[in-house]
Amino acid sequence: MKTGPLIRLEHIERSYPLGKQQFVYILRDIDLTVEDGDFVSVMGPSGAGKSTLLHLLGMHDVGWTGEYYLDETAVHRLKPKERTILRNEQIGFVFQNYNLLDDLTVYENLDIPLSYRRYSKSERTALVADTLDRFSIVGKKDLYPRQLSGGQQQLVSIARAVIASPKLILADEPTGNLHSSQAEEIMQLFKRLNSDGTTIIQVTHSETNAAYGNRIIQLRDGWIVH
Amino acid sequence: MPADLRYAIRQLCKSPGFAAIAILTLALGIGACAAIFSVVNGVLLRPLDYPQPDRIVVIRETQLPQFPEFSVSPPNYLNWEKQTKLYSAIAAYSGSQINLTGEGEPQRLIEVKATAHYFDVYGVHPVLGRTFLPEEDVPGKNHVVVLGNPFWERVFGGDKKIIGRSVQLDGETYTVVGVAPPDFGQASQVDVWTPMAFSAEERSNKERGAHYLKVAARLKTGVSVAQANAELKLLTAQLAKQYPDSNKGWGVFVMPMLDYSVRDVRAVLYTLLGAVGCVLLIACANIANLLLARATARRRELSIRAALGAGRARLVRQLLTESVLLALLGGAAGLLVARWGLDVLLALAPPDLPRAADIHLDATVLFFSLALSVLTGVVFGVAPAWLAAHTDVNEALKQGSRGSTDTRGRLRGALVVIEVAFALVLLGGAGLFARSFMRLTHVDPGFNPANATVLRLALPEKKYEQDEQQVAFADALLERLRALPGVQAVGLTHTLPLLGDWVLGFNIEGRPPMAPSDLPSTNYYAVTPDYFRAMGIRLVRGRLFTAQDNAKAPRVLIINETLARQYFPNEDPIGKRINVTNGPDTWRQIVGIVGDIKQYGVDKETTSQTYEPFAQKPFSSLNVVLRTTGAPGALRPAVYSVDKDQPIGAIRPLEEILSETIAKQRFAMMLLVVFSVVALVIASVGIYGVMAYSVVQRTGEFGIRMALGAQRSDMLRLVLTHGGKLVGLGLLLGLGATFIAARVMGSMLFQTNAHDPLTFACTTLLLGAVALLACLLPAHRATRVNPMEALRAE
Repeated sequence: MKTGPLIRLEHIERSYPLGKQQFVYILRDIDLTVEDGDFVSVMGPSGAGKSTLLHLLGMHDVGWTGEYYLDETAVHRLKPKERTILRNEQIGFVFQNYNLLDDLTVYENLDIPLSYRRYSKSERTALVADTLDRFSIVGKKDLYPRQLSGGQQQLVSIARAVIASPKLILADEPTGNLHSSQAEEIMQLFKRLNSDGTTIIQVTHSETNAAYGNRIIQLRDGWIVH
Repeated sequence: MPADLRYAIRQLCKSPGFAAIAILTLALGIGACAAIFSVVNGVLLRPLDYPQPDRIVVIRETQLPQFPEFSVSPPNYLNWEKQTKLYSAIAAYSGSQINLTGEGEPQRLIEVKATAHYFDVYGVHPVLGRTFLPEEDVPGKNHVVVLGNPFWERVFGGDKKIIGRSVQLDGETYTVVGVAPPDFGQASQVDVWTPMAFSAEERSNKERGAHYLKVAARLKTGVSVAQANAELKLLTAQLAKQYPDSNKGWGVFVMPMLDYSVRDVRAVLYTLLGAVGCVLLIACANIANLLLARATARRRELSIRAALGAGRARLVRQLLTESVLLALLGGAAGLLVARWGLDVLLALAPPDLPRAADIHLDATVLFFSLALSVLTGVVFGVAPAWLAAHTDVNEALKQGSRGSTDTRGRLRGALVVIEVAFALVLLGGAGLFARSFMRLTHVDPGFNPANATVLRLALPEKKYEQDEQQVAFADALLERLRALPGVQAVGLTHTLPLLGDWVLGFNIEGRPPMAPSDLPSTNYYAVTPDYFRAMGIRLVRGRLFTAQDNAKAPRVLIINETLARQYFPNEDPIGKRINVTNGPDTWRQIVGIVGDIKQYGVDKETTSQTYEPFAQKPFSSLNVVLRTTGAPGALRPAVYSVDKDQPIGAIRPLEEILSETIAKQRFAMMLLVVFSVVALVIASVGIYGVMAYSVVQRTGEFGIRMALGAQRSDMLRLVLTHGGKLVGLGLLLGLGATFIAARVMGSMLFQTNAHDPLTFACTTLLLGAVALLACLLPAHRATRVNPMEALRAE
C-alpha cells in the first residue's frame, strides 16, 4: 500500500561544464514533492531551468545529481533501461510544438507509444479506437499532422500522452503555440484529466493557465524560490 | 556562364574536403573507364593500320559441326585464286620457323611463307627494295626474302645496302629483296617472309585434304563481305561436287580481318567495359548523394537567389556548372589513374591479346574521357540541381518545412537502391567468373606440368633431309639431356599439346572403307618412348613404346581412352590395326591405351588422340620435354654438343605454357574481382553516407520517439529496417539485373551455370551483410540521441 508522494526530489542539481573546472548550474539544490493527483504549474523567466526540470522528471536527462523518487522507486539508482521501463509505465509527454511525427497519420501517431510498450496488436487497436473516440478525433484518424490546425495537433499530442494511461503527464508549455480560445480548450482538457486522477506538471509562462492547477512552483536561476 | 563558372570554382574552394572526396571518387571511376576503353579502342574499335582496312578479309574453311573454322588446302586456295572475281588481291600464307646461320650465333627465326600478292592484300610497301614478284612464287626461283624491320635493325644494324645481299636460311642461300615497314608483321614477331612457291605435289588434287594455309584478301571497291561470302560458298560447293572424296562436307566463310582477329576477346572486353561502367555509375550515385546533402545545406542560399529573381533554369544551370566542373576535374585526375591503370592492365593482359601494340591513351581516349566527364557531371548533377531549383522559396526561407527534404530523402534512398543493384551485378559477375576460373584450374590436363620443361627445335630440312638423320639427332640429343643432373625422364614429340596440332583422318582395319572426307579425325603425335613418362601421361592398358619400336620393327600405335571408347566401344582395341593418313598407307597395330590429354586447353573438349613411335615416323620439328627434380641444367650446351649450328627455340616450363591457355579467363576474372571490390567499397560508403545523413535529419524524430518510450533497441531496429528496406530492394533489383547479365556472360563461363544459385546466394549475402554493416554505425548513433537535446533543437 503506497503512502508517500508520487514524486520526491532531494538535493537535485544539474550543471554543464563550461571550461576547466568551471560549471554552469541550471538547477540548484532542488527539493520538491508532488502528491498523487496534483496539478502543478512550473513558472519562471526564460533560462530559469523549467524545461530542464521537466526533462529530468521525464528521465530524459541523465547528468544530474541528487535523489529522485517516483512512486517510491529510487530513479537515481536505476539503470538507463530500467528508467525507460519506468517512464513508459508512468509518464506521458505533451510538448509546446506538439512533436507529432510528420510521416505518420493521427492513428499511427497514437499507436506509437503503445508500440513501445507491451501491448498486443488487438489491445493497441482497441486503445487507439477508444482514445480517438474519447478525444472526438475519429474523423481525423487518417489525416497527417500537416493537415491539422495547431489546436487539433495539440489535441492529438495530449491524446498520445494519455493513451498508455500514465500516472503523470509532463507538459512543456502546451499552449505556447495556440491562440487563446484553443489554449482554453486544452487547459480544460488537462483539468478533466486531472479530475480523473492523472497528476499533471506543466511548464507555463501564463498566469491564466497556471491558475488551472492547484499549485505553482516558481523557479529562478535554477533555484525554487517559493 | 563565366559568372557561373567563377561561382562554381569559389564553391569548390569553399568545401575542399567535399571537392577532394568527389574528385577522387570520380578519378577512380573515370580513370578505370578510360583505361578499359583504351584497351577496347585499341583492340576492337580502331581500324587496322593499313590503307582501306575495312576491305581486308580473312578466308577460312569449315567442316561443321566439328570444325567451325579450319585452315585451307593449297589446291582449294588455287581454285579460288583463279576463279574469284571480287578481290583486288588474294594471298595464302603459313607461319613456320627457319634457321639463320652465318650471322653470328645460329638463330631460329619466325618465317612466313606467302604467295606473291600477300603484301598487296595489306597495301603495304617496303621501306627498302621490293616485295615478291609473281615469277618468284615458284619452286627453284623462290630463294628471295623480305626482312622484318626489327630483324633487319637487330641483325643487320639497319644496313641500307642490304638489298641484294645473301643470307643463309636452313642452310640455303636466299637473296634479300626488301625490308618491310617497321610495324608490319610485328604482332606475330615475323622475322622474314619467303615466297610460298607451291610444289607440283602441293598443287595436285591429292593435297586437297592437306589443310594448313591461312588466306587473306582485299575486296575490290564496292564489294561487300556478304557478296564475297556468297561467291566463295558457290565455288566451294562446286569443288565439293567435283572432288567429293576430299571436299564433301567442307564449307567456307569470309570475315573482315579486324572482326576475325578480335573474335575471341570481344565479349570479354565489352563485359569489362560494362563492369567498369557500373563502377562509374555507382560513383555517380555517391556524388549525387553528396550534392543532395549540399543542396539541402544551401537551400536558403538558393531560395534567396530565387527570391531575387533567378529562374529555375538559371539555378539548374548554375548547379550543373558546379557538377560538370567537378566531373571535369575528376576526369583530369582520372587520366592519371588511367595512365597508371593501363600499364597494370597491359602487364596483366593475356600474352595472346590481339593488337596489344595498338593500345594507347590516344586522342580518341582523351575525347572519350572528356565526353564521359561531362556526361558524368550531368548524370550526377541533374537530379540534385532540379530538386534544389524547385525549392519552395517561402518555406525554405522560413526553414520550417520538411516537404522537399522528403523528396530528397526518397531520391537518396533511390540512389542507394541503384548502388546496391549495380554492385550486386558486378559481384555476381565476378563470382561467376571466379567460380568458372576455379573449375578451370581444377581440370586435369591429362599430363603433369610440374617440374617439366619444354625445349623447342627445328632441324634444317636440307641438313637433316633423311629420316635416319632426324632420328640420329633426336637419339643423340636425348642421350645428352638424360645425362644432365636432376633429369628424371626426357622425351620428344613432333607437336606439343597446347602449342600446335596435327589433325589426321584414320580408318580401322575390317571396317567399311570411307571416302577421305568422311574419315574420322584424330590428333596425331610422333613421340619417343620416354615421352609419356616425361609428360606424366598415364598408361591405361597394354604397353608404351620401347627402343625396339624402331624403323625396322612392325608399325605400332598407341591410342587414348577417348578414341578407344568412341571407336572400339564393345571390343578390346589392343591388337587391332589402324591406318593414320600421314603418308603411304601403312597399318599400325595398337599396342597400348593411354590417358586423355587436353590438346587445345583445359577448357576445350577432349579429342581422340594417336601416338606413333618417332623412330618409325620422324619429323624435323622437335619438342623435347624434360622432367627434372629441380631447375633444369644447361640445356643449350647439350644441344650444341650434338650440332653446334643447331638454333634453339624457346625453353619454357610446361606449367607456364599451360597457364597461358587460361590467361584470358584469369585476366577477366581478376579485373572483375577488382572492379567488384571497388564497387562494394564505394557502395558501402554511399550507404553509410545516406544512412548517417538520414540519422542527422531525423534526430528530432528520434528524440520524440525516445520521449514517447522507444528504447535503444527500437532506434536500432528503426534505422536498420530503413536501411534494410533500401538494401533489400537494391538486392532484389540487382538479382534481376545479374540474372540478365549472366545470360550474356554464359558463353564465357566454363562448366558453370550462368545462374548458379550458390554464387548468386553468396554474393547477395556478402553484399547484404556489408551493406547492413554500413547501416550499423549510423543506427548505433541513432541510439545515442539525447531526447532532451533533440527536442530542444526541434
